[in-house]
Amino acid sequence: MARKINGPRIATANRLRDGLVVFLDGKGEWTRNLCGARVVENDAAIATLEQDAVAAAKANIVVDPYLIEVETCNGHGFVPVKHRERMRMKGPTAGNSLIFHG
Amino acid sequence: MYRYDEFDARFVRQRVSQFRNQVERRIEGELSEEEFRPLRLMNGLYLQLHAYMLRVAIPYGTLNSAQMRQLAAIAEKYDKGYGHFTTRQNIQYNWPKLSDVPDILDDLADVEMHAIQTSGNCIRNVTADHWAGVAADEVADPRPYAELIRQWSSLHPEFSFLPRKFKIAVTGAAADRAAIAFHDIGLRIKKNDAGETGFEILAGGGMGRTPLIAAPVRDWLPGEDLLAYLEAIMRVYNLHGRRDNKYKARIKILVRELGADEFTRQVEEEFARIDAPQVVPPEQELARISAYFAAPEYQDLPDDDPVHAKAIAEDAAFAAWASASVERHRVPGYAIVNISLKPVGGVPGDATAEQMRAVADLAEKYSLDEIRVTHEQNLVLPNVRKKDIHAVWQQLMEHALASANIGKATDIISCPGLDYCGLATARSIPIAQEISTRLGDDARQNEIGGLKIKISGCINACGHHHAGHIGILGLEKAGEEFYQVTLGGSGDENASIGEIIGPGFSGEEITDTVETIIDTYIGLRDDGETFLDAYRRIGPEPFKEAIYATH
Ligand code: SF4
Repeated sequence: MARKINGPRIATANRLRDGLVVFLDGKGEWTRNLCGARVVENDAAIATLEQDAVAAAKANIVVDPYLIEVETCNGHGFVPVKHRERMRMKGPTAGNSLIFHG
Repeated sequence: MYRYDEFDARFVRQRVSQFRNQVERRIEGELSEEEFRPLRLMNGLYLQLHAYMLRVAIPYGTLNSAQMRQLAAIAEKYDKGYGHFTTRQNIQYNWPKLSDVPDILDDLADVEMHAIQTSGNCIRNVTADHWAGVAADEVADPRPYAELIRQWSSLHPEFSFLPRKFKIAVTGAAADRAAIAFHDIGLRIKKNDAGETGFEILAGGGMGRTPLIAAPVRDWLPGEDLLAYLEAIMRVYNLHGRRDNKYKARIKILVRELGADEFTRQVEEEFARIDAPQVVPPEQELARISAYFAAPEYQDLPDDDPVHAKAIAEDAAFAAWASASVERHRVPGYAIVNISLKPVGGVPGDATAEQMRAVADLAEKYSLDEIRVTHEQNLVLPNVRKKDIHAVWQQLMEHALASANIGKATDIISCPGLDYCGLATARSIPIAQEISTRLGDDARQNEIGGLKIKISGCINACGHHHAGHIGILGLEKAGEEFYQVTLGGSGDENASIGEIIGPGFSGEEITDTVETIIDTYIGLRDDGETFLDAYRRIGPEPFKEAIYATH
């Protein structure tokens, strides 16, 4: 799960029971909402975040956790830097998936 | 229609109950994800970008109305009210909860369906011509052979740990509607001068990162030797296939590296060693399976139906739809009715539960209870009396299923791409929607004529872009989606791999590019010449000039 990234980051995974995308928040809970994610920047905090994420996978709360790089979005909150992660955060962008997404 | 025998039914139920237990143990934490992953994949359950995805097998694309209704019920009960028909003639559900999957599999088993062999390094569910058994140009129904292969491969100990996934397609007609040249093994049923049934055998085709057209291995194999010969191919593959490098593990790489002649020589040598009758008693087994595929009870009808002829003459919209959607049936008075799952601007291959039920009702009432799923992500009512076609069309219209675009520019194949797929590098569905919207006008589609546009969201090529007359491959560069265009691909009996036309295009540019390609073709085509024929005649240069001159 170690990945070389720079800048602020958050932990993400898919929830074990329903597979939905989740982010680790400041209280150690996994939330569906990226706005609630715990954003960390220094090495120690990153290491702790990573440990917490791995622990949640071991505890069978989530599957395949990893850290992603985020950036501020017009000064309001954070969004993932990578395109794939932005898509993952947003959910499907087209068709029935939009009508039925909720 | 193939019905499970007792053994199949027991096997499937056992698998479901085994999986139920595995899911419980996973949720309780007794199984780790590493332990569970291969087990869920064996049952068709993937973890995708946003959720789990369940891939349900529809062997050789054949369904009855009860099965289609059950697929609709599953979509409503456990998913978000729709499903996605794929290029493998399967259906995928995009949002199942892990804890619901055993119940879904039980519901599937109630209608003799399952999700086995839809994933992993096994022989995947065998695909066949979607007009099998009804096409006017067919030599023999490929489905009994597809089913024979399925049964042989399901439990074969040598095939549960192959170097990679393995795909077999069978057609019973000279016209190839099953893209057999793009499969690991492609089979075409033939008859010899004595009227005996046999096979032409191709091997080593495939799409993905390294697209290759299958090499001819045997021009004629007597029907009774089929499984022995397949076994010989699998043994040669199992022996040499690279397990150390997943990009080299497909049989196509082996055939290319050994050369078709040497590969064939080794297969023939292996075949000579196999005691064919020991493999299975195919004649007996085939007779048993064929009985399940016995033709339905057709009525004795004149081929021309006055009701149908009158409707065609009097109703222009119906005539336009019929000319795109209705095909000749081998039985007089009947027709094959294709149902487009490509509404202009819609998601290729998606069907709502309500649409699935509507198709099930139509199949029950008008198609001798049969439905087919095509690898082009459409549906088929294979047994419609000509006099009923107009009524079928009217009901299709009520459910937004009557697009008159089969085989035309908006009949686009698209994989799920980055809207769903964890492996994707770019979105494909919105691109398909935008192109479809741009070209959707009836007059425009008729002006363009037959055209296959195929879109994949990554190099794995599930959207068959290599075989598209216009192929589009979604990639990512520096955080932006971009699209590479190939021209001149074809998945039919004159298969070809599309050629990359040049540097890729942004998401904003791609629809304009496709339109430029089409306009270039229209400007240069001879009378009645299709896009593919024109491309083969004039080559890529005029298209390159037109596309890149504007950049
Ligand atoms: S082609 Fe790629 S993006 Fe599309 S479904 Fe296949 S793996 Fe996913």
